[in-house]
Amino acid sequence: MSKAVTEVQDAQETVQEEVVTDRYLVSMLARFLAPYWFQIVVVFALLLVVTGFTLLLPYLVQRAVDGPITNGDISGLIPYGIAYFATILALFAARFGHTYLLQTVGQNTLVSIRQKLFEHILWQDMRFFNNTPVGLIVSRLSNDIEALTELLSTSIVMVASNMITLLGIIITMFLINWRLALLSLAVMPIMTVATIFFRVRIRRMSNLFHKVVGDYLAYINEQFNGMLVIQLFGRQPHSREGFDAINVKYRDVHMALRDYYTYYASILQILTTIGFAIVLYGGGQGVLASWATLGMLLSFIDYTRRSFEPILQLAEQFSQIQTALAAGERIARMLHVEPEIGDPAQPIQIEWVDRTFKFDHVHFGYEPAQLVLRDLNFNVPSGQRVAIVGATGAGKTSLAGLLARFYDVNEGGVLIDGVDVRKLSLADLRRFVTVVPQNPYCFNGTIADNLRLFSPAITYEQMKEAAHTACADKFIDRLPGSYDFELLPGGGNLSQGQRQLLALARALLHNPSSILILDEATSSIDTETEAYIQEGLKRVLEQRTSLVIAHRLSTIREVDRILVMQQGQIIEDGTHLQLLKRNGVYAELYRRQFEEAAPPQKSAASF
Amino acid sequence: MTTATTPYAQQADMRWLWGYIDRHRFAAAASILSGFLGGLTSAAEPFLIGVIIDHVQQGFRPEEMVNDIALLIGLAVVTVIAFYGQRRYSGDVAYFVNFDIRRDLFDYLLTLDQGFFQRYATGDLISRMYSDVDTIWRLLALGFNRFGSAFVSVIVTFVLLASINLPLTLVVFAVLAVSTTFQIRAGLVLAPYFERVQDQMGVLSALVQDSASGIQTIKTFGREEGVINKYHDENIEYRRRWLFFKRRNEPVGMLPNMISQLAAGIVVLFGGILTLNGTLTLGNFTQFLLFLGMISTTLLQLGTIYQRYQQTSGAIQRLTPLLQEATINSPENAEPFKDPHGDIHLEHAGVQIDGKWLLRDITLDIPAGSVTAIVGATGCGKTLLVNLLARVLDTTEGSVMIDGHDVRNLNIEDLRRAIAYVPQSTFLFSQTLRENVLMSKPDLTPEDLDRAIHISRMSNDLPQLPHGLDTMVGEKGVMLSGGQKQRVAIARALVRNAAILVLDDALSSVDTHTAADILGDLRLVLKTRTSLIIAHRIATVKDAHRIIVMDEGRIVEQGTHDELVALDGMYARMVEREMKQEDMEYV
Repeated sequence: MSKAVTEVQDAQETVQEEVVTDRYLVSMLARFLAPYWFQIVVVFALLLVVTGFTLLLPYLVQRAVDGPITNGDISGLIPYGIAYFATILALFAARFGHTYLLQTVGQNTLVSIRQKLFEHILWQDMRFFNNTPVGLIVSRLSNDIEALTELLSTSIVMVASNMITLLGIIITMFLINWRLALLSLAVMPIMTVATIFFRVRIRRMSNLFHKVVGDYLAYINEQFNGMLVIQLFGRQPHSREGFDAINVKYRDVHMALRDYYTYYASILQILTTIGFAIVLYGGGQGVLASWATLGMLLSFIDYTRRSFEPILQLAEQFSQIQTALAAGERIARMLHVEPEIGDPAQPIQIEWVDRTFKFDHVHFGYEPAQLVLRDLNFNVPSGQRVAIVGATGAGKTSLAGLLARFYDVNEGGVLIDGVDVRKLSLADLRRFVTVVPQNPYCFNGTIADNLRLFSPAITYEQMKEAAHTACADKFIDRLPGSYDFELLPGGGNLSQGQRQLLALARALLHNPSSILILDEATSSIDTETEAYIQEGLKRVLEQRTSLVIAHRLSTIREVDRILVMQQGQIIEDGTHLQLLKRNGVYAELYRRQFEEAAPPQKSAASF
Repeated sequence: MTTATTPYAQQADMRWLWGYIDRHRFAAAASILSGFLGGLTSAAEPFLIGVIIDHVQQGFRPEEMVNDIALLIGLAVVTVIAFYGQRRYSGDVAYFVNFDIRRDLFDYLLTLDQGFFQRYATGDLISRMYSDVDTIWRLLALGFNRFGSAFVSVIVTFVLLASINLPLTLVVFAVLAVSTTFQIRAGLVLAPYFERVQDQMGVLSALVQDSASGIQTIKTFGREEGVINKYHDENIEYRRRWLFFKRRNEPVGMLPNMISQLAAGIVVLFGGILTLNGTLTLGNFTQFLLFLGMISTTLLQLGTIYQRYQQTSGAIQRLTPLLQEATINSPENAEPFKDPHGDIHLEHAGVQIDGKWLLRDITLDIPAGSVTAIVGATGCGKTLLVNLLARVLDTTEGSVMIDGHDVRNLNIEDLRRAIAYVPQSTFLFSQTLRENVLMSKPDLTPEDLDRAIHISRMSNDLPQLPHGLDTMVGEKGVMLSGGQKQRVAIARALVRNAAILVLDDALSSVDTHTAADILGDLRLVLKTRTSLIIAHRIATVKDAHRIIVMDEGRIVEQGTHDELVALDGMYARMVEREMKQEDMEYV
């Protein structure tokens, strides 16, 4: 346990953090609940009715015992019987109405929170997505929302209903007989102290437990993903060792949490019986001394039992409420994040005719301290095809991100048709600039789904036309089911080259007249697909302002101009022939790559 | 040694689970016995309260009642101790059984072949290792914590009440039995509707995962609205299914409470009449009322245990594939495999997955020290072929021999140590770069490490990383590009210094210039070992001693570059295509 102590302290720190945002959390929930205020009022009104009816039952028993049963009046008992059954039926109806309304309101609220959170995340900028693992986003929108569901549709009402019941019982008891009431409440203060004592501990331990579960899930996720490497490199013992450590912790923390509950439940149990004993002993004397009746004693045993129930249930809700609050806090925090890149207040509308772009003294770095691009200057006129070459890490891919405004420059400006991209609306800008990444993403679903990209209105004819222009139709037609071919997750049943062809067709389909930025795939394309890509590119790039991050010689040959980048700066600029003539960095790169592509005849023995 | 520590049952079922419980039979027996005791004493409590009420009615003096009260509290102390024991030992059973199951499953997963990991998505495996195993915990924790006491207290209550008044007892128990049965049945009937809710949750999560992974594409085309609309539709469908389930489930959940209230009504009415007759005393009347509250909760608990039992026997079956799939372990009398040369021989090797032959009739001799290249279209079985060597996959038919030993007879750790492998997609663990590279040789000399880092050209990347070799990478660390990751994987393989080197498309994300540098240096390394190179470019493979051309799981051509060109088959066609593109360069 000594090791667990420091972790409890860790958990404590997070608890303190939560206090700061509790108010924000409440106001967030209030915002989402506001549209349903009327239903919520009805829910609570019904809750009062339910509590009232519940407390009426022991009272009816008491009256029956003290009246007809003590007096030996059978016919007098009938009305009590009828009243008892009627109350039960009314109780059933009220409780059903209450639950029905509550579930509806709770679910409506959650649907709107989930929708809002999803939209909020989707409108974040790329920096957010680069810094936030996908798993974390999924977990916010599933596990955390789920925990909040529990809070809204069960826990809050449970707590409210228990509080109201407890209050109702206390009031009723005092109305019936204040001396008996005092006797039956005698153990309540001890119960309260015990509850507070354990509440704090259970809360801490349950925080720790959730952290351990998170570690467990993260660990097995990593191990499963890396299983091939684990097996190939004989890392099973190491992997098993790590798993065991987490598995032991998982069990021990879970058991420690259980221990607290066990102690707590035992204490409550003994206190309950002591409560009964006090009522019976004191009440017995009361009956003798005539300040209480037998019926009262009977009903007080019932009331005492019912008054302990809410406390027990509150305790059971602890960890759930704890989980839900932590989840709500995480959701609130994510809703609080605002994208750094958004629409300007007054976007400038431009006529999309020139299709030129310009980098004007651009400085840029993903981290402010580490500049990737330094004082970059170049101007691309309408219809020009530009290739960028340079070693990995020269900042080529960053250019694409700046033009499409996935990121903003630190200094200088990126201009489209003479207008700074930061002055355009994002929707416009994204129509003007299209990026086809090196390894294009394939969404779950069919080829057609991937071409449509969530626009159900796009027809097969449109898709076929775009695929034809991009030279993607050849491979699509050969797939079983062609456009309705189901892709494996991540497009696993397509080759990288095929995915690029698909992405090219997608670009043509959605942004037929945009500036195209193409991050070429590197070497793992089989030669046949490569031939199609060359042909497709040739057609797509014709007369189009475009920027190609080039890896292949053939592409370089096709373009109008070549920029050579080194360490975030352009060091050479010109056509293929001009640069060769200059005999600088480009000429050297070209020669080397060329040798590699068609090496002089060597014998096999050169290995 | 990776031999299993437990004899695994073929089927994950209740018998399999009993095997685990049996290991903790002391705790299991202790929890049930304390449950019996607690059930007995807790059932005696309402009975005693009824007796005390009678004493009060008979006008007992306070000092005469002290014994009653002392007995009541004494009983309560025994009950608390018994229940404490029940909770504690049931916990021990549940937590330890779960611990064992998790450990065994993970152990087993470590030995499953690659065919398995291709069939089951990581998310699916995680859910089995977490949610499904947790279901077992829920059943055991509840079952062992409640069954003993509930079972005894139902019986004791029945006997005590029947001794007071049989007809009233029968009526009350009949009502409760009907309600409990109904609840259990309704729960089972409603279970599929709950599954439909869970399924839709899966759809929502998949959409989130998909759109977050492909966010750049969505943003490029400004299709955020499209995704949001789709999410909205699925979200509404989720709500529909959820409400559909809840609106049926909630009334069922309320029912036991209502029925027990109704039963209380019966007791009040008829018990009241019987009390008037003098058949029942007021204390008996109280006993009926108190037992009623207790017994309906107890029956509910028994019902819940039964329901969980049903759910668990369903969930537990999802663990079966994890126990049944092909595992790869060292054989019983494994031959140690020291000082390997790297002679490889495949004899009619074939691999069948899901009824499809993905690799068929591969016969191949690779002499030690030679360089063999494998080419062919995506999905033709190249990776499958090299996977057979290190036994991350076993052949369905035929055999794979290294230095004349069938790989299935060798000690698997020795075998894998003989092979350094750069897989197609690289995985980095959440550790420092140094740890990732040194994975198999933590005590490597700095000179050897430097050499591996130089050859793989990781040296180009180190200055850009915040802490050089000690930079944390992986999910929680710095994100590396595809090319950088591949360079790490190459360094990792070089560090192994094994007799056989396999490069599975290992330079696909490295830019051409760097790739050329790496290949240049690798030539020296390749001279000293048996190498298999999977690649797409002719330039990478043409100098190999032998080139193997594969198509649809079979070897269709093999020979040197010149021989294959002369053969004028598939390989010649590949060369032509590439040459045509190169020719254009001279323009």
